[in-house]
Amino acid sequence: MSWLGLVWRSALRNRLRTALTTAGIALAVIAFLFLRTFIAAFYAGVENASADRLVVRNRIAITSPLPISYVDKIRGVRGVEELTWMSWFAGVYRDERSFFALFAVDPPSFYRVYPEFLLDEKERRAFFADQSGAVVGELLAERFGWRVGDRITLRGTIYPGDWELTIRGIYRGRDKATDRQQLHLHWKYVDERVDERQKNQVGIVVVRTAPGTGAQVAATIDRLFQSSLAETRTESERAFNLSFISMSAAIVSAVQVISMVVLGIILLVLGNTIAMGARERTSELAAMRAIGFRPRHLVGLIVGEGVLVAALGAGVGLALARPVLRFIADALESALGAFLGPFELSGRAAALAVAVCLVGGVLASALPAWRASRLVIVDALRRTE
Amino acid sequence: MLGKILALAVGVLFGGALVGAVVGLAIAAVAVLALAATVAARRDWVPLVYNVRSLRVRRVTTAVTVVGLALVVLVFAVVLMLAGGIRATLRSTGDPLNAKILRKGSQTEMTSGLLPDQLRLVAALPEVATGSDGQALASAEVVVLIYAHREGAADDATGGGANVTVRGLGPRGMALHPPARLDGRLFRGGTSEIVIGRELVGKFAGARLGGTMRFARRDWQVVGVMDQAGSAFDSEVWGDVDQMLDAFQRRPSFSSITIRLRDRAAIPTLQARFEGDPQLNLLEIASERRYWEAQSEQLAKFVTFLGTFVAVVFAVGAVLGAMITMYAQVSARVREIGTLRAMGFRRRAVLVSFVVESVLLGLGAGAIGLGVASFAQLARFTTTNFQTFSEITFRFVMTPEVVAATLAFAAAMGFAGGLLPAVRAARMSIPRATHGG
Repeated sequence: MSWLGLVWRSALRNRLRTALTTAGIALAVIAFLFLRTFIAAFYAGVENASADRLVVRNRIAITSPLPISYVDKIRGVRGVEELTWMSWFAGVYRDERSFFALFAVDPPSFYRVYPEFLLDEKERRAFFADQSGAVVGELLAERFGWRVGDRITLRGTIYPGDWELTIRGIYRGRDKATDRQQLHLHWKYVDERVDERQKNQVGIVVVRTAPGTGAQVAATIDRLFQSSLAETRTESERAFNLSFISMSAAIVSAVQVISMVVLGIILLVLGNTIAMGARERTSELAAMRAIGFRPRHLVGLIVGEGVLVAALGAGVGLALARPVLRFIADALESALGAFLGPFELSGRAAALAVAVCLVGGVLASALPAWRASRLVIVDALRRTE
Repeated sequence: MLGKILALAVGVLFGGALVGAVVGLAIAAVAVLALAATVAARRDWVPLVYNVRSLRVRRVTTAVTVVGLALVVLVFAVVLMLAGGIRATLRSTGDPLNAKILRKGSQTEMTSGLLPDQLRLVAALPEVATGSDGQALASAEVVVLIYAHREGAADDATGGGANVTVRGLGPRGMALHPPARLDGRLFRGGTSEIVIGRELVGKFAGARLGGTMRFARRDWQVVGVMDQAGSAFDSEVWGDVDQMLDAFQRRPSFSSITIRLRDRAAIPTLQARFEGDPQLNLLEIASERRYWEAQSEQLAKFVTFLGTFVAVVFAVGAVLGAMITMYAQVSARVREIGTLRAMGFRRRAVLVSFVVESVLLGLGAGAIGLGVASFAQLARFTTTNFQTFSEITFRFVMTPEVVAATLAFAAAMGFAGGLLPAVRAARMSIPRATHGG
């Protein structure tokens, strides 16, 4: 019988225990993958940020607007290749739980600065032409069953009242991490309907610069408005997105800590099981030594069993991970709205989980294997435990 | 589309299995209790000292199992404590007799905008209580989010700060939200003086009694630190409403009006009055307590969801671990079981004995987990509230309910882990058992 055959047989000795251990490890793998995917979704905005885009906002507070007149002034700054402006449109569709991102944009410049939103030419033209039109991401359209031509109503909170929009296009994401749950409407549509105090204001201005010139251009823009009524803070898009994540830093850290603890649990469960198995079979292991197996064979047997069970657990966990993750993500979304980035299981997280399991299998069986290799045959055979 | 269906199927399966397991466990618990009752009635239970000694003899395995269980109990308890802390913070914010008036349709003060005319009209309403000076107890408040830099962080460092709520209060504002304690004094109207909540102290540059905070291109002197009894106000900066309106270029629009009612039941009456009056129909009113509770809903739901998910995963893992251990215990003690049975103990006594043992393990782990969890009360959890966008600090609160729930959870895990192995122990036939299984 080959070594692998021996390992397989010994793992099947106590089928129930092996099954329970595999289940425990699979569960821990799924939990670990969920937590890591969760964190990745948080950081999706950061990972996805373009290196050549800057965000200009009011220095005072995230909630303060900039005057629209700034747009032309910024356009004149050297190094600014392309710019667009937008406002966060806080609104409710149907009910608060179906939250998604709404932006009032200037369509022509917006899609030039954000080439990752892919839109059909026909839909693009229709949107540009209809001031009460809207473009939605494909995931959003799928979620609510929207099609081009549908009319929807949003209840505005910052800009009060009911806003009727016609869906003129559905955009696709160029990259895997592109947010496909946004709704874009015309900034002009909003500006024309709000009262005096809210007119001619934008939330942020987004600038595209030549590669490598970002820091200089940012400094120039901020200097330009330094002593004016609305001082600006200009930073890279990545920094801007990071500042939002840092708000939830505590949650992200807690989740990271928990994912480490989950790994620890994998080790604990595995270690306990292997140790138990090895202890039970002391007399058999001693018998094997007596007939000529060397200590390293015993070590190989025990470690092999540990790695096998770990691999089984990892396999089952990976197989079930994707559907379970989708299910949980959908549940989260329907309860709280779409505030996370795309929830995609990354190959890296999966590889990490498998690696941890295999290494864990080795580590967990280390002590029992070492003990087995040091068996004094005579004493061990005598033990009746 | 297929992915979605598959996900739903797996989710339902898992969920169904979980629900089925819990229901099965509940039924089993009732059955075991019934058996235990008959065993007790006939006074032929296996002595407890047998269980205690057995656990002692197999110390290492017992210890590992208890540690694993205690870890799970710890996570469960801490999650409950945090959820309780969030609820406590936001439920305790506000006076039961206060009501908050916002612009209709805005869900939070951040997005609401009101005008001085509306304040005058509201202050004149008969339902509004008056203070000792005869003036209506109504305070116009402007609420703004600033980006405050952390103590020690450079001005342009990213992530070196957080959003903090600044609230400008009217002259009667302090009377409407009196702090439990105030170190220093109140800010004077017409000055750049501010009072900060105790949770901000030490977290941000200049946030201490006598310090200076800089925002909106002005320096503000911190003349007081208030203790608002663990409510949301403990994480806010308060100043004079006129100063804030000017500094943030918000004039004339402020965020909300807080009023003290003569009678709590007046809220529906006032809402009806608003709707009927063309000058007031852009307003909506809610009790201050309810307003703050609603502000935390998303965050509380989110934390509860995450916590529950983690607790369930850990619990299932712990039960599996306990099961593995108890099965091993049963196999190791096969001869003892045989002896017990040969001595005359009935199957049900053996079953009850093993169940009791694993429940004891669970309770022991529960006590340890609770003990460690109680230290969490010294910690604070600071995060950004998704709805108000500002940073808020919660405490971990251990109440008798948390203790009871945690111990019940621990006992349940012990029970779940030990049930099937105990059944196997009970079902062994005497000859097989004494022979060594």
